[in-house]
Amino acid sequence: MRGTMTAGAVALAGICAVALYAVTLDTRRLEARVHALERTAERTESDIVALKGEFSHLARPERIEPLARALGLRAPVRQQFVPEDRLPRREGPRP
Amino acid sequence: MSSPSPPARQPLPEQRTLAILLLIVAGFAILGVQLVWQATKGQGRARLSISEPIARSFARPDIVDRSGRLIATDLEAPSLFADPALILDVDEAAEKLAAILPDIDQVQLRSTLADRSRRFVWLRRGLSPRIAQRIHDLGLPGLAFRREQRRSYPLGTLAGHIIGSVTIDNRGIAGIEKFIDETVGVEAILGAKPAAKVPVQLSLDIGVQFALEDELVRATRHYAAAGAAGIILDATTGEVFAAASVPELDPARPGQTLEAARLDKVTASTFELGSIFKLITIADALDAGAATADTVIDVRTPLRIGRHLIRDLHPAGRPLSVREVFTQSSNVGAARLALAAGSDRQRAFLDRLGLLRGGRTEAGIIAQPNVPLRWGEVETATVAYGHGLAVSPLRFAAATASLLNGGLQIEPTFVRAGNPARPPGPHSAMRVVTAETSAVLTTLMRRNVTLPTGTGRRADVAGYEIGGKTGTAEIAIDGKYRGDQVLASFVATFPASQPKYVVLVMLDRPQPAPDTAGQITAGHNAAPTVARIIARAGPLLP
Repeated sequence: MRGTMTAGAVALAGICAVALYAVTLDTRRLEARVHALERTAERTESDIVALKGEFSHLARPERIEPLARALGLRAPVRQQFVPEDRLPRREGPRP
Repeated sequence: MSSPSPPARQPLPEQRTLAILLLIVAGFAILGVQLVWQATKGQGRARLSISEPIARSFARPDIVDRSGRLIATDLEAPSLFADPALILDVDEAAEKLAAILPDIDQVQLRSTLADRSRRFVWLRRGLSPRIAQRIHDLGLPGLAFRREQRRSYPLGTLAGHIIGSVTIDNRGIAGIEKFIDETVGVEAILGAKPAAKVPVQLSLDIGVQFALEDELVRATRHYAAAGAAGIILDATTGEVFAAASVPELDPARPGQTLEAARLDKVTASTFELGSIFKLITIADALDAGAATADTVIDVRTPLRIGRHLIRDLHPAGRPLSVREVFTQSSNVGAARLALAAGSDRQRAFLDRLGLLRGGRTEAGIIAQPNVPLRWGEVETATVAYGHGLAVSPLRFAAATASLLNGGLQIEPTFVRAGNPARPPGPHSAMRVVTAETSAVLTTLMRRNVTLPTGTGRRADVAGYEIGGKTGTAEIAIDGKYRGDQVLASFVATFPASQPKYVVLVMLDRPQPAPDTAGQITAGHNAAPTVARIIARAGPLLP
């Protein structure tokens, strides 16, 4: 009886040790994954900032204006804008 | 026979435990004494090498314009450092690095790499990824990289004077960048973590800013001027839509701030602005009830005060009404109005408009005005037409806005209302002139542009109802005013029926051009420059 109990306790201890090792291993694996994801997030965040900077650089007026002029576009003149109350009235469809 | 010896007396278990405990306590006591001795004497051989603090940098919030377009941001960049103790061959490392970084000081580099007492030393910060890769490919031991946040200005020199600049550690040292450090705050970081703060939204509009800068650069070339400055301001809120100083300043090159020609002419410099000051003189006279627009002033002869003679550039030869004093820019008429008011009232009015004080905006300090040491009759007369008192163009633009917006004082600002970086202003603005005076001034400004004889007629742009005033101030060189060296300025407002915008342009020492008929006066150069700016920037203004 005493021998059986000892063997059982040893077996339980063994199982616990294996389970603990598995949990530790899994934790380390998950930690590594979290770190990898964090690095990816940081890298992506950095890429977004760089892309925003690139967009701003490409959209700077100094570059866009000559391109727009080459396309035949020009700045609107004040006469193109008409106050709303000066717009010609149109009769809507009769109900 | 000998009797057997008695067995050795064994210590009791309690005694053994006590002895062991005493040994342990004694051991710790020795350690403690050693620690105290080391701490108090501090002469031990142990040396703690702390190198990390020098690698600290700062993450800054983005700067955006009033529409949210990016002006400045932090970008991750590799920085090269060395651990000299790990360098195997100093000469080889220095030569290979110099081949990739040709501008590096080789003598300094060798000396730095040879100093094996150091474990961390920056070699070059803020490298481009391509250069960093080339250095990495050298495979030299003892060289490594750190990722850092570096300030980047994707719009180049646009609004450079306003934006300011940062140090190698990303600390603001001028302009809005310094304001961010002082008011918004930056985050000390190790590595390349971007700032979590809300972007600082400026009142500038980069489209309007570019139009202003481009036209000022063109005007500087066309009139062969030494420089130029310009401001476009919201007359009712004081928000600056654009402010530029030519030659430009690149915020990525802080060393340029040491060049005198690149000094910010909008806020950091003061100028005798000439006849645009007549707007102030006439405003004072009208508001005090000392004159109306129809009051007639004798300007037939030059005005003599002591040994000084004040004369008009183009004498009318007849008395002029206040209205005509403005449109014909009569120095004599303005001087007589100021003398009638007296120097005390003149100073009080200038002070009320903020023209006798400096101050500061988010972009930096507004230069203190240069006021006459003695404010007698002569000074009162000359200040009336913009000589003898030098103020910053930004202060003058703000004073003009206060006079024309119905008479309520505004303070210029570069940060858009509602942004956390801008504290809420006072609920009620101080009144500087009555609404009636403000309306008369606006009418005078408009007349000066619409009349065929008005000095500002070349500033007219169809559809914008522009009103304005010219100013041509002779520049004092070695204590003497010279007629061929002038500061030409033009202050404008539009639409004159309800002033919303104020534009001020200043050309430093313009020269005659083919379209100026040999003239260097503001009506021939600053006024048409303002017309071009308004025609171009007008459709972009909010």
